[in-house]
Amino acid sequence: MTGQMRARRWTRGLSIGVLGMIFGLSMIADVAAPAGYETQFREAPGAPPSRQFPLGTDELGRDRLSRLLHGSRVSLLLAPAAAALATALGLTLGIAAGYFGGMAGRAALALTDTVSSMPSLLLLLFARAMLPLNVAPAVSVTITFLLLGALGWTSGVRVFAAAIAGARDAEFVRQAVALGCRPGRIVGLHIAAAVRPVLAAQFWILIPMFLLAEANLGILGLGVSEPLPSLGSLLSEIPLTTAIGGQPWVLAPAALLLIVLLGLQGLLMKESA
Amino acid sequence: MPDSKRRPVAVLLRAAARLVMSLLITGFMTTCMIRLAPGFGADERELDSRLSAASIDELKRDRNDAHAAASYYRLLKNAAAGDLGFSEALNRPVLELIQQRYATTVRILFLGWGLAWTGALIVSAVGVILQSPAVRLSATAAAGVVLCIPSALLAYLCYLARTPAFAVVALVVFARVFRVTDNLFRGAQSMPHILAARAQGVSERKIFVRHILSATLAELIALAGASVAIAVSATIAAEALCDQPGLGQLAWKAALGRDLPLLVSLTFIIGTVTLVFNRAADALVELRRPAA
Repeated sequence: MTGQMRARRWTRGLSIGVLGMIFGLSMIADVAAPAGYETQFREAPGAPPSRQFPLGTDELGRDRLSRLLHGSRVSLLLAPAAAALATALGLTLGIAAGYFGGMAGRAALALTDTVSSMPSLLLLLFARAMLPLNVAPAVSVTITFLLLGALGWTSGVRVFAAAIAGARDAEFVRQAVALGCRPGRIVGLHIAAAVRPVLAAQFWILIPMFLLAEANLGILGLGVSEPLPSLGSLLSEIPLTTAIGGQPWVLAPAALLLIVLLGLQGLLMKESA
Repeated sequence: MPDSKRRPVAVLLRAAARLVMSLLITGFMTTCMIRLAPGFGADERELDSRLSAASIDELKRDRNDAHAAASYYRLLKNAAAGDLGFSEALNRPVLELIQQRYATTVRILFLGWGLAWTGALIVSAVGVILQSPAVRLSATAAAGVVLCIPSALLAYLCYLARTPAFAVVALVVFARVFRVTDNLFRGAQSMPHILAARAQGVSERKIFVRHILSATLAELIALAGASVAIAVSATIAAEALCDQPGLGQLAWKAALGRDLPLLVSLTFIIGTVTLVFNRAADALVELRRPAA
């Protein structure tokens, strides 16, 4: 085993360990968090870290650690859900382009090219503004991650189309066609099996993209609405003053997001190796 | 006309046709989405009891076309006449707002984009020419970290560090471009003609300038076109958080205030700019390919 391979294996192991720990802690946030995400300690607004509040409290007296755990749960559950939606949409257009081809295929690729040429943040701002901004927190979570899924499908279409076009010409698919198999069955059974690795890779690539996009929307005030926390909305609570140098704990959401994304990069390193 | 002269014209015409089609589709989709937005067509002036029924009917007629296609046609017609609509939140014509702000955006966008590309090309080239793993690994690690920071947070940090807004764009674009240029240049190093040049004792600098750059030029051009969209996204975040009065900040404010007419115009204009760059890059790549 070369040094590079050993380093890659070590990085992957570390990534799995760190991500597993963060994911596990966030999933049991209800139990692990010292308080609810909206519980206010009115006697201690803006408190520094202490035994009672390990990451201090925010301006409304809410425990930062509890909000961080609940917020990471929202982001870490919904980013994969949005990635699954985007992968499914990309696959649908990939099937149109790669399997059926013709006019529908050309239209699918033209649409993909056009949408992928647009600045992603502008599209998100535009689509988010189409929908009501003053909504219940649960609705804002749904809207945010549905939007990410609905707009983030473009990156995989060409890859899917190429993989599906390759699988379409394979011997076993030709035999299935010759035996009278219907297109739906061929796509659902044979083509899907052939492109599964591409689907998995695309799904994993999209998760960090959506975590970043949600963070951007949150910081810009268009993400998940108060009081429900997400990694993005917690980042928007970082005060825009140079005084944060004296209170580095307010940067905990940024540090957690960085660790999660670096962990995902470490995980994907193996996939792309 | 000889084929060698006819081909560039055909490529450019095809690119222009694709651009026009993309713009028409984008515009139509934008119009349709706007019409589906909750609150579309509502005007608080319709609740004004001082207005007559005829005036209210006129207001309704003015805002609601029967079909999306009719609405789109009117939008195009007005845009061609220089009327991009009226911002409800800022109470000013959209064209006036854009004229006041576009210079800031152009400056931030192209300074950042240019700096990022210069940096990415220099660092990748140094890594290849010096065959230095240290340069490559440190730049890869730095780019990897930047890729893990949302551009809006990067804008936050740059604002606190009092760095200019274009630094945000430069960092965001550098991180994405460097990874590709580095891979491209390292991939090209194992091409047979480059291995042969190295075996004959040609210096690494000459190999890079004469062979590696020309072998990867098409991919670099395509990447340059695509990176404009990345730079635009970063510009929006940078302007919004670094308080720069550009089109990105305007788009952000329009989104926060649900100022749909302003947002439609901005989406269309900024989308047009990125599409132009993308299609121009596609055309250049196609021109570099040998004719079939």
